Amino acid sequence: MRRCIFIISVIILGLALSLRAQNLHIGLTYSPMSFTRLVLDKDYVIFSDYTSKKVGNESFHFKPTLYNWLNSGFFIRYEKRFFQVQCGANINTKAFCYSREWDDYSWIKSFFYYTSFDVPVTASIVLNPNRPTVFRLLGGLMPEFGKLKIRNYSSALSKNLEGTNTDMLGALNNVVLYSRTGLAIDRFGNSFELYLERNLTELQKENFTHNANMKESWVLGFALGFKIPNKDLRQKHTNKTLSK
Amino acid sequence: MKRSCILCFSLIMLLAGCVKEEYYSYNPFMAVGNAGTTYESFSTTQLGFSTKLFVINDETGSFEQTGYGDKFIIDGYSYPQITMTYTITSVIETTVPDRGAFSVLVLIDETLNKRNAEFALRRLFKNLPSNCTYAIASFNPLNTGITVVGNGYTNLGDLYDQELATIFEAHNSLSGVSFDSIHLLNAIDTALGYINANAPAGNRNLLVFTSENDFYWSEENHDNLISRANSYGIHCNFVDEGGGFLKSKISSLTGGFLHYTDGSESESVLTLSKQLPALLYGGYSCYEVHWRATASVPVFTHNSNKSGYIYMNLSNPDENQQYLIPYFFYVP
Repeated sequence: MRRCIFIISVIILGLALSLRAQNLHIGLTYSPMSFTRLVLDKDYVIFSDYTSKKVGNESFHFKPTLYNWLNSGFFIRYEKRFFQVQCGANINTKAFCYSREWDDYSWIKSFFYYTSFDVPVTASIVLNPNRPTVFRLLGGLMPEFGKLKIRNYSSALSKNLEGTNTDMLGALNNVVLYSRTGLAIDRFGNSFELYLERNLTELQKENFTHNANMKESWVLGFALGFKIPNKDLRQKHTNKTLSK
Repeated sequence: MKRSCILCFSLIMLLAGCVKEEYYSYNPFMAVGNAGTTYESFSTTQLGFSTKLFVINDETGSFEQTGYGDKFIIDGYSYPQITMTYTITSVIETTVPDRGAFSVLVLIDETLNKRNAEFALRRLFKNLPSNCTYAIASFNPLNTGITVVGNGYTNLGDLYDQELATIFEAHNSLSGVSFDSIHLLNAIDTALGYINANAPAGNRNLLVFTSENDFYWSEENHDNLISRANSYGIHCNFVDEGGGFLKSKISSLTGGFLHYTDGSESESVLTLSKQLPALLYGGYSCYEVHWRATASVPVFTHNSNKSGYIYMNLSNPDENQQYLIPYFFYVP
């Protein structure tokens, strides 16, 4: 709770500063699509309902859920000519496949998904400053807070999906630190960011001796950024209009 | 204004994420089984025998002690010029003798469909009484003998979690492989030897999960098997999806139980799993049903085997099921 208050305070402070400083900008992010990969350390995951599933998904999977379309947030960006520092706050729904089994009739994919509160803090190196289209290399850290269970439903995009698995979700830590690297393209204040995230801290609360443990979590996705013009720009625009 | 919009948007998404989760559920079935059939009386037209039948309630998960005595029937059958009728002479609500702390070797048929059997066994292992032990072995139609998992007997419920899942995974590759039931016979024979050499003294059990029929078994083979089990002091128990009566004979004559489930009732194994420790321990409630078989002409003879199915019929607004319980006894 203290962490949340701290983060929210930082964001509010950033917002206040961004209204006064020329180099600070705020904006909105939208990241509806991501590919995920989950690596477990044993062959079978055993559930508390006495069943098991064979683990076999170590490649990236695209697992769309309706909640993915709501993945969004906002950011505060400090911009200089050759580098940028950005802090954001996103609500993010992630879906992880962990098993894929052939039933009598079709493949059954098992996955779980949850909504978390992510705070990516990244630094970018601008590769070609002062151009209409700017390329940036970015890297940073992203703490992920909370695991909100979300409703189990059948996606219209894929049949035979199994819903949220409470055991998998329950085993996850509530705070996981991710690394985040990527490439961004900025044009006229809007950005397209391709990023790769990987966990740096333990995913699970405890390691089991005879059950599969989640060891690595990867997310490959993209985010769209829309910068909101700051007060100075708005003032300039107003002055120009008045002078006319 | 824009900041307010962002805040509202975030709150809406948070609320959307907090919807109650739904769970998968299945339709439970009651679990019934035979804890032993005994010959009682003989004439050429009348035969008396008794069966110990247990009923596990799917809702409470406990043994039923009353209310089901009148639900059991045996269908009479007719040959040309012979009419056979079965009647219940009495039903006694009784208790199976308590055998104390058990050790059990679970012998798994790798051709079994994993879902229900794996569930039942994992529940047994994870709820094992502290003074009991178990070991796991498997067999399949492509090999002779059995494969014992790990170091054999243990009391740790999750020690063989991964191995147990692996055994049932074999089902996928073995589906469609024809199964000569002699493999099951060999597997039981080998398992008896293993139990005799490795199991702690006392209440020793073999619990076979199989889906194989016993069409090809010879009388001589299973008589040898029964005498061997009795000489080692081993109770043979079966959870059977295959059918046939010889497994009922082995369980009955070695003091074990048999639960039979055909495809439509396979969910009953899930109910059975709630009481598997009690079934191995003994001391559970059951119905001792006394039967009289009457033939229209003299047909019964000494030194013969009798077998068939007892049905438990449930016809009420909640359940309309018919459960099959194989029985087998020897007329000396």
